[in-house]
Amino acid sequence: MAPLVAAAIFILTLVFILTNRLNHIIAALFGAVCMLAAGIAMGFYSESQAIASIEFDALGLLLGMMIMVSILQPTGFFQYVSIRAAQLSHGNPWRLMLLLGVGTSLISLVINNVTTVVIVGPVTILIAELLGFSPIPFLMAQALLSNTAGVGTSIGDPASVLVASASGYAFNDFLFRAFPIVAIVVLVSLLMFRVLFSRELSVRPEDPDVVAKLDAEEAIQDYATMRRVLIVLAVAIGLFFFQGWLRLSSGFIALSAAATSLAWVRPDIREVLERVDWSVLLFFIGFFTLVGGLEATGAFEPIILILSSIGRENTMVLGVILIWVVAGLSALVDNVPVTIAMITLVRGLAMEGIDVSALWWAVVLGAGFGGNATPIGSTTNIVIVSMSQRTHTPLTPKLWSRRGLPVAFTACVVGSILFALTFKWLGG
Amino acid sequence: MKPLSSIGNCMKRTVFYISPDTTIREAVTMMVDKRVGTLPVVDEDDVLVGVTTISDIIKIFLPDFVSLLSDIDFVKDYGNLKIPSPETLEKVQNQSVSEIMEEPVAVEGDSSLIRALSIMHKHNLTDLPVLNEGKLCGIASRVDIGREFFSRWRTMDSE
Repeated sequence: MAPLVAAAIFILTLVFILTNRLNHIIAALFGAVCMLAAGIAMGFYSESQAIASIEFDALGLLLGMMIMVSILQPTGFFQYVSIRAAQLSHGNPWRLMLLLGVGTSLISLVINNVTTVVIVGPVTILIAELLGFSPIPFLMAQALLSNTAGVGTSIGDPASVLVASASGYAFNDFLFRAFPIVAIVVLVSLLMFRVLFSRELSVRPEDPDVVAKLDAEEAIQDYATMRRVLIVLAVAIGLFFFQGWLRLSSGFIALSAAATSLAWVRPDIREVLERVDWSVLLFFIGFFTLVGGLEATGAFEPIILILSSIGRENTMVLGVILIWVVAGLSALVDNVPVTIAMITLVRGLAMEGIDVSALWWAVVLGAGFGGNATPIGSTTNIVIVSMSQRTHTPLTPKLWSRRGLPVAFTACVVGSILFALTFKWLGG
Repeated sequence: MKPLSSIGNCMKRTVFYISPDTTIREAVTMMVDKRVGTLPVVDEDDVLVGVTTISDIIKIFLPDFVSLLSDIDFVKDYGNLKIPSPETLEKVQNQSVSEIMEEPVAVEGDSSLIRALSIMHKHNLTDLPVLNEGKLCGIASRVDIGREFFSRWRTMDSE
């Protein structure tokens, strides 16, 4: 009886999230409370089990990084970097896409994707407008590349943060295993944009010098704060490199960096906290509690048994299947709930004796690439679409299916091939 | 000391207004000809249904990045964006004002000046329509009301 009740609560919550009948955060929190209430009443899930099911390391890492970025955001640093990148393009649209795309990817490796596009998107619209280009190809490229590149490190995307925390893989494991695959997929995606947007990228600007006249230095609003936060961020990244050797958790490093920045900069704390994306953190807590209850009843057992029978035959095939399942689900809902559910499945597979060391990477790649398929597949896409709706050239779902979907599909194909080719190395 | 008057005493009684199906081009023409920045939008029963301001219309012609970026001081040269693009002019001129007008904010003629000024400040208005039993009867600018409001100050000094 308990597995049925738990599964019913879980599926109902998912239905509310999928159909947008209820805001996904409210749905997750309400579902979590229902699960816990049912668990306590029926004896399958206790409060302490619920708390144990929350990945606090992941939460700490996200909160710490969000605070750092929140202090850095108003200093104008990201505007400065985007303007400098645009100036190197000398008004050539393809070169502009390459520079903005690679720049966004690099920022996304360290910083949450949503924050990246919120900051870089408006500057991109500025640069495209001044040059007389449609901002759409550049905005789409930024959304897709920040999703793709975000999973290249253990701190760049909530999905990879979750997997890192659950699998125990450190920053360097991501750097040597996920990052090379992600880097190749970013390059392939850029080449695809070149083909898909060939018409838009062949326009010549009437006044190519207009971007050179932008005063990048003046975009910096607060040099002292910028310098301090960047120093702390650099030290934090250094610590991430050696986190295995130093035995430091990611959450500890990020929260220490946030506390240090706060103490050094002493900003208006209310303003800083207002820019923190609490919705992601609350959703995490709610969804972890929800899935934890489902796991406690053993409702995942049948799925785990099917997957483990495939895994015993051929773990590499199971990995490729996982990439596509995670990608397909991430195209429909945000990749965070998908990743949380998959983590539970992969842990179950490990209990069945399957070597899951390479399968974690399959979850990471699927979560990073799948969300690109639809305009609602990731929060980044939703942010970019709503930003473009405030311009004269809004991004339509039809346009997304013609340009975004092929890129997402190719990314999954390339990702699967690279996963299969490097399977031994990924599991090593 | 002179007692504070109500807004009915300092408003302009000649109001230039338009109907919801007036085009943006017609509204702009009236604003330019009559030298006004705010046009109340009134339906066939003289009921105030909205307000169109010159800044609402200017906003349509500004580059998109202006509303998206928190700071634009570093953009010194606007390149070819100096004049409204022919495409935007073409697209906008036949739109009716009902598509861009704001929700009406108005006060009755017997409202005190301090209430009128407070409402204008809160809603960030430059002109405030004045109603008489629900129907438009006048309009007062921040300058009209401010002048009346502070005239008391001057009489205080001379006393």
